[in-house]
Amino acid sequence: MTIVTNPAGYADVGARTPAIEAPPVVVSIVVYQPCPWLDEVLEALANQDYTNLQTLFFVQSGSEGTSDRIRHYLPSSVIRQVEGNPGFGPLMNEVGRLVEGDGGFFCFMHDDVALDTNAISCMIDEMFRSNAAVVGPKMVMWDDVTVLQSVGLGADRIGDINPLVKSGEKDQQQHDAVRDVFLLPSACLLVRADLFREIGGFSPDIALFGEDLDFCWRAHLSGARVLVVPTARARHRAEMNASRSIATMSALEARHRVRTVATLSGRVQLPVVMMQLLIMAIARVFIGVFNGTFREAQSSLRASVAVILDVGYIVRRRAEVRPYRRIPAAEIHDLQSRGSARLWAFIRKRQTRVQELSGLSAQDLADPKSRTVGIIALVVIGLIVIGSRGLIGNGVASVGQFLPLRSATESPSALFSSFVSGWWHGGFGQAGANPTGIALLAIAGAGVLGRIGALQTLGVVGAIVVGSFGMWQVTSGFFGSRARIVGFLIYAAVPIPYVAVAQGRFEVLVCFAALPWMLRLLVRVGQRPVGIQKTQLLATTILFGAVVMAFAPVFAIVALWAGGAWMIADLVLRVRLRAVIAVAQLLVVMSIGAVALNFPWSGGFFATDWWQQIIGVQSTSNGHIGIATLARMDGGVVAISVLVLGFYVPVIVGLLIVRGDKLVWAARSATLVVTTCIAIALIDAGYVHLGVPEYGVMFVVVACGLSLASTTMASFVFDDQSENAFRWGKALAGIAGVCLAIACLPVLAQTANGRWGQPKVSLAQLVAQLPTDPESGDYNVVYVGRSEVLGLPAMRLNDTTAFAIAQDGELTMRDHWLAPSNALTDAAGQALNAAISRQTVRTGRLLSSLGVRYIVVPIIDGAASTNKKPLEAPTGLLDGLSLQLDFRRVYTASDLVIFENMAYIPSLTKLDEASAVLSQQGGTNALLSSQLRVEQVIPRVGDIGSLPTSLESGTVHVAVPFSDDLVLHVNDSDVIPRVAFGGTTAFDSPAAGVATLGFRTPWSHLALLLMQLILWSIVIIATFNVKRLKSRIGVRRIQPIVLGESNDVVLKFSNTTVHTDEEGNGLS
Amino acid sequence: MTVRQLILVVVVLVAGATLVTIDGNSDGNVQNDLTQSNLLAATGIAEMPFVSSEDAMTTNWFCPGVPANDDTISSSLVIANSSETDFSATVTLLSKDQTPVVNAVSVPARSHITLDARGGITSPFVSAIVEIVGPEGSVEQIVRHPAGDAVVLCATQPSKDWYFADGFTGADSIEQIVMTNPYVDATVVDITFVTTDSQRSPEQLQGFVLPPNSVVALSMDEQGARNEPIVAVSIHASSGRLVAGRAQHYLGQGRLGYSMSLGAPAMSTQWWFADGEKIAGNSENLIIYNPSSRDRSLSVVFINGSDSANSIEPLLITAPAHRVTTIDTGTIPSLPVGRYGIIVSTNDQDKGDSLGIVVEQVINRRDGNTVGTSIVLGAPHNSGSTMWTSPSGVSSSEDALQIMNTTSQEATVSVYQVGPAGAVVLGGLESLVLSAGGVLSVGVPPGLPDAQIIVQSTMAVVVQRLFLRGHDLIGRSAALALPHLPSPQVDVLAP
Repeated sequence: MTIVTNPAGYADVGARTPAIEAPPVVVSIVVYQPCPWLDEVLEALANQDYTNLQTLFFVQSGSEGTSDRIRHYLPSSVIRQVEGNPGFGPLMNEVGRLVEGDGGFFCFMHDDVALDTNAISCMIDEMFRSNAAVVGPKMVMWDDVTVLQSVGLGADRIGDINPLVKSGEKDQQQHDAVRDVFLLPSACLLVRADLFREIGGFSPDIALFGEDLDFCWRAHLSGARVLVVPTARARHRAEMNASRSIATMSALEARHRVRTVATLSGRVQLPVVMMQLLIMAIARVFIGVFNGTFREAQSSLRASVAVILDVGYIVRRRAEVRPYRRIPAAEIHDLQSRGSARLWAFIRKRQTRVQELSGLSAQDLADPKSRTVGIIALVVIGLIVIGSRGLIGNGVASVGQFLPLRSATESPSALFSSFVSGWWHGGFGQAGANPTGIALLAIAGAGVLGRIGALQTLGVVGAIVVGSFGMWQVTSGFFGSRARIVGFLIYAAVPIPYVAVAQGRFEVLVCFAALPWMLRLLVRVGQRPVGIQKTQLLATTILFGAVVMAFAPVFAIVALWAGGAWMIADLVLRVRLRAVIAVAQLLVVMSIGAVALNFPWSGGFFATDWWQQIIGVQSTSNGHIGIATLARMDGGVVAISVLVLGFYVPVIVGLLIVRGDKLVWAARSATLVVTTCIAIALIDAGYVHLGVPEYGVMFVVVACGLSLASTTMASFVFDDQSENAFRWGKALAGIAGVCLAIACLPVLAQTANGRWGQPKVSLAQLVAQLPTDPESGDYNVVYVGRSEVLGLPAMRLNDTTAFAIAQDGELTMRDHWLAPSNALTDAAGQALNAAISRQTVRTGRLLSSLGVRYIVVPIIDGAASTNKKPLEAPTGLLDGLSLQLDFRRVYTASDLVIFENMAYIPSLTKLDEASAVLSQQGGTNALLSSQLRVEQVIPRVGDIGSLPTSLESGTVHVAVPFSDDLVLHVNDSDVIPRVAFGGTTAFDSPAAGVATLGFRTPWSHLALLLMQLILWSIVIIATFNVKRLKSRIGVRRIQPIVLGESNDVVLKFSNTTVHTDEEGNGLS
Repeated sequence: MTVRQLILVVVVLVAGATLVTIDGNSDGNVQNDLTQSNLLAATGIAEMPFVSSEDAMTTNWFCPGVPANDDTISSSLVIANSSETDFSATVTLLSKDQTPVVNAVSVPARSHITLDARGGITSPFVSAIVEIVGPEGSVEQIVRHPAGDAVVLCATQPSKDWYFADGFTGADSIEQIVMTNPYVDATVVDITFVTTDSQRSPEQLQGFVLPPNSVVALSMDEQGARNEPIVAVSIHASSGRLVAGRAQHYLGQGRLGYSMSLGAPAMSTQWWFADGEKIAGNSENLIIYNPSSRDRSLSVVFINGSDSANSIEPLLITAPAHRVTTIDTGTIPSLPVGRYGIIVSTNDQDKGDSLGIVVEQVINRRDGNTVGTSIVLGAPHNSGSTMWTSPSGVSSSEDALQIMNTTSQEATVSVYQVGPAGAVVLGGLESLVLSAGGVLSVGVPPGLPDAQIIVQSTMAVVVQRLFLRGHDLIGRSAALALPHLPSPQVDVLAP
């Protein structure tokens, strides 16, 4: 059967060529939308000098006019309507199904490629001549055929594309030699049909961007040659890419590239290649900052990391590829570019393939604004890193609340074990749910592969960066990048985080890192998302709040306060009421949700001392400092910090000069700053007597306001100024800008320190002199003094004094969380109060049953209290303790006083008979009148356990709160516990034997943990749209392609008349 | 600029102004607080033994010590319980180089017990610590010396500082400073003394170590203060705390007798004496010790209600730093004969140093050729109370109790004795009128059972006890009663 596809009127091929048999070629094109250049494309096809040519068009349903246009040029074309947009690759795979028979060729084309008349015949000719399987034409620019677009592409081992021509390179036939290439653009590919079918066509999982790399790579694997045929020329508009954003293209290209590399690389090379992939992705992020391709680099990094999620897909896909993997991977690698195509491209100032395909010029892409912003961001981060060099090099000192992470106690397994056990190690220890933060810390520890020491440094330094980046995000979508980078810069330049680092204020740092992201959530909810987006937003907020509150419960108060100020501003500026309500709703949902996710630990918040549990003990130095000093945000320690007041100038300037929608932002920033400062001033001056979070935490709200004010003002300068008619505004903005620049100086000067002023020698090192697990028996330590210098969360004793309990050994991160008060902490507080108020000189006896051996009074911790600016010990504390007859001074210095309680008994002992009798009494009188005696010391291990110890019958006492789940195993029997001394636990063992202390985890606790896990899972599913995630993790396949019914002929590869050229040579 | 924008700007400016205002007030508050704080610190309410009027877990008494190596001297501890419930007490006896001896005793309600203060221990001195569970109970020690008995107050807490204004080693008189360290830690003290000529800080008395749970006595004559008519002593613990007492055995040069007393744990700006007396044959001296490094301007006021003593102009003197100033009231011609109260107070404002002084009163009561010397430390500032107690009771004499009204209002005073029926007012000693700023000498009839005495007044008073010296010796020994502090409100005296 002879099929003549082109009408004689348009291509007089029959007259020009003798009829010989030619291999059939089916040209397949996808036409999605009517486009003006389609006529040129169709005409070029119609003019092809290749005779055995059939055309197959996939036209999106509804484009009736398009079919008519196709029929006009190519009347015998087969046209199939396509439902939806299944993507180029998957749709082209339909060609293999729709065309019957082998022995022919498929020519896949975009609808914006116009072939030269002889393009098909040249490619067929070369295909036979070179025994190639995939060939492609030389691509030139649509509007200027003298400019090369592509003569094939190279690729390195990690799939980075290496264009063989420079951008804008003129065609001087310099690339006109036929050559093997690693891949050809899918804009025009001529493929042997049998090979196409054998290797499964294009990847069904790659709708667009990257399908050519994947296909050509697999072609190579099957042993086929891929050639570029420069004598065949095609013009290409690259419209398919131009219609999409660079971000979308980058993301898709990166994801498909990583998948392809992971799928098609050899088994042996794969680990190295994946490592190379990750390293290059990270390197690209840095390079991207400079060459304005940060976003693309970000996509690349994200794709490289997310490959973990594609494991399932990769495994299956590799199995699919395995049957036709005929060429060793090493040979394939020989075909690939050496080194890094991306690096070479960078060095040679070449553009990436995506950039080329986008049709944007290099000038367009190298956005100077983007570059400036990137450089500023990098400089700021660099300064933070430089300023933190001492911390990075030598680690974070254990000052203030910065408790160290130790592998013995903070390893992921130890933390998980503790979390599940139902025994809270903090304070005296007690049966109860551990803080959720312990589980999160364990996960984080596992995330850094157990390098928990690095985790702390990363957390401390990273918090500053995270907070600053969060502030960059707050106004995303509202202000330009240059204005936003000012906000980023200002937030990074306020002294709060650095003072927090110096003084070890963990919660301040957490709030600093988290609050901007909370504000971002307020912005997003103000845009009133609906449906799944709203659900996702609410879930994100809950998850975010839960994670932050797990480490810093005070964040809930800060977020509510900031949210309240935010709403006030919105109401004043008459922002849509619904948006304000949405903000309120979000705050309520966050509070309730975060508490729910942290349950059962958060159950401790529902107590009489709930406020203290959340905000901690009010700092006693918070008083009569003066707002002028406080506003400097560093406590006024450094004289130069007065310059920081310059940050406040944009608050008022912003209100004066901005217009329109930006006034809302100015008002928000002013409200955040003003309301918080007034609250602080009132409390500081003593007009309001409320327990409030420490000033550092409250000033985080102020810092956010200052940063927003700067951003708003910068937006006026960078985004609106050209249209602004008010010149005085420009002058004011200039003045404010100068103030901002000056205000940055104190922090800039601080970078010289390298540790942000954090002392190298900490109080913890001095306290380390106390013995750990001594043979004389385990014990507890009471830390008492000003809450700022205690180093661990404390309970309020009186207006000026707080106290905390710890077990012997080094204080570590596990001690960060404040354990709920119980009978033992109450007893300890009562005893300390008695000492301070001089009600007794036998406080030692009162503390004896609690196993308290040492009373530590920190005075100068080098952070909140320094030699230059010491915080005196609370009035009466040292005098009261010095009066005690049972206390021996172990260490007395200006910075620290340690008393040893000579009346103490170890925390796990066998009591003598008299003491055993005494233990059955509650109240203080029994303790005050008698000295407890010990018969035998039992060594404790772990959180609540002991070494097996041989004991005579008698009473074993353990200085932990009573719990039914405590058990003393004596030989094979369990001894039931009883309450001792009104709060502790004792076991009256009737028989001698080997005894071991233990704790039975209650089922109810496990049930609660399971419920917590379910809650977290639900919120995570809602947050991350797990349906999408699941499709990502699973082997995602494109939806089935639905083609409309057609009456066109069935396409077949069969013998046909092959036209010959003028000399009578057949096209073989 | 829009109206809304203008309003916002105004609001922010007003808020800024508010901040400045608040800040200004804050500074004022700080200043005030600081001033008050300084004043409180500087005023330094002098601590003296007292019975707490508030709830306390334990009540502790640290007795300064009794001689325990001389069989001619006996001593006892008196523990009084005026409450309606029994209580138990722990008595710990400390001595030199010996393990503390601990005994538990029970004191029935409305009674007192007397214990041997030596507890069978042989040592130069033995000191007792009495720990009572609960807020009730009062303790003092009695030394029965051949040269005269002495009733001695016990401290309610150890102190870092102790002062003794009077000291006398003339005619080879014996003066011993008895230092008790009740702690499990060593206490390190620096001892300085002042004689007529100079202040001395002997090297061996600097960094002097008191071993844990021990009693150490220093004879001042052995420390370079032999035959000195003036020996004022100050003790400062550079580490730890202690209790200090002074034992004096006068052997001549105008003084005879035995005295044992607790030191002053702090300086004070005022000292009150309820028993000033200008009686023929007797001599009265006020020994004023200024341990500070600044001279002090002092006023000495003699009061006796509406009596003529009130007409005396205050005596203005200067107490030189690190010196002892002695005022012989007999040399004040305008001071009328009889009894009066004495107030010694400083006139200085704070100059960055402690304001206080320490004042003791020495009275030599002469009968023919013999003399009986009594010494009493004044009641410091803020120690006036409406209730005073005498755990060991009083001697039956015509001047057993000397009461001075420290207020400008008339007071009514009653004297009670604690017995099985509780506190019962003594016949004839009820609702005694005490004029504003007046003094009252209360006699106690013979035959009174040995029991705790309580003096109650409607206004704050100072109560001093005069005891017979025993052994048929002439004169009196003196001791303050124990005030109940904070002073309880007494509107109407109990019947």
